[in-house]
Amino acid sequence: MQEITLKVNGKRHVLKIDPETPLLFVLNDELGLCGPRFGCGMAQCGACTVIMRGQVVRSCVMPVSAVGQDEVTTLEGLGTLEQPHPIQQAFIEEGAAQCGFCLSGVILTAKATLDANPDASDQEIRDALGGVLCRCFVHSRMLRAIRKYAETRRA
Amino acid sequence: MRNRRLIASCLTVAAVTYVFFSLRIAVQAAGHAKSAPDVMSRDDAGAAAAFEAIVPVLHRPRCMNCHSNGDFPRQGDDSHRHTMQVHRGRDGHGLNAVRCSTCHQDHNLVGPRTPPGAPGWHLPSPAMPMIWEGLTDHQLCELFKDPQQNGHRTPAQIVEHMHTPLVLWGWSPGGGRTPIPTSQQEFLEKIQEWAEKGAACPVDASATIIPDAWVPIYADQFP
Repeated sequence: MQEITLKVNGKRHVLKIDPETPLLFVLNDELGLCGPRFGCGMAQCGACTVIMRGQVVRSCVMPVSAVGQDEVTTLEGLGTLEQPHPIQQAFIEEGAAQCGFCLSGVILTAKATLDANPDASDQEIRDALGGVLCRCFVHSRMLRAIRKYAETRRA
Repeated sequence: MRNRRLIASCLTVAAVTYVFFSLRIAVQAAGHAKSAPDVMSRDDAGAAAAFEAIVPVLHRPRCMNCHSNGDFPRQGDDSHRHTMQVHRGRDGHGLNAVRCSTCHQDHNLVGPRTPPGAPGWHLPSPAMPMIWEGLTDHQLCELFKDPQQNGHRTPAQIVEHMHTPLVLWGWSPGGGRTPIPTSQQEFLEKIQEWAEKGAACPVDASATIIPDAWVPIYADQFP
């Protein structure tokens, strides 16, 4: 066990934990955040995605000790029920969810991609989402929502 | 009397300056000897033979998966295109927010089909992609030596590069991947020998040795 300080969604947490624990388990079990989800447990599906250092990270395979001083952003860190983030609002308006299991990974991946490159092409967005599996085929509505958000950013 | 003192002072200053610069040059030379190509005695035939000995290693999937044609990595023993639409990106670390370190850690993860990893996991940058698929042994050797294509490295620095964890990962790839069969020690000795003997290249017309099993994959997917 080791004392580890984590900064998640703007809040600092001090935890006594095995440093090899996957970040996902810490977010889910210790901090009660259920945005990142356990899907495959081997970085293949993207359900556990979070944002760190401006890039997406699969939290199911990252040891919590590897986070260091970097801030972790989960879906909960974007907006609130009362005031959703513009990308969340776009997903609501487009009804871009079915079962919703992959949604956290899709939204965070799209946001991080557009943060890194506001002019990312449709193909670049599709490629970025290549590592996030949606099993109920809402892709076209998701892409509409992402495009809407991208246009909102540019306006 | 005053002139004698002045001359003595000047001579002292000159002597100190001489000693200082002599020492500095000696120290620089010693440092340079450590990092410069350590050519022991030039032996073109021996160097070429040493390079030929490492070529089969360079053509193994563990090396080729990041040094093949296209702006994307490959994966697996069959060198299929990396799933998830992964790209080389502007710096060899991925495109936009999807980076190699999105999934790859600095160590192999335990279990089949889990991402492999090593410190600094990445592709060569697009500015120097170090693609050696399709090159003859001679061309490959020339690419290794060309600072404009090899990351501005001298042969001695190429030897150093071969000792980095990312390269040595090829001998312990984990996850059911086939390790490089040539012993690591033999490989490192041969690349060292190549540099020490003057880094000459094999003069040949041989085509790149790509195992037959790979050819249909490239041909089907990327005609």
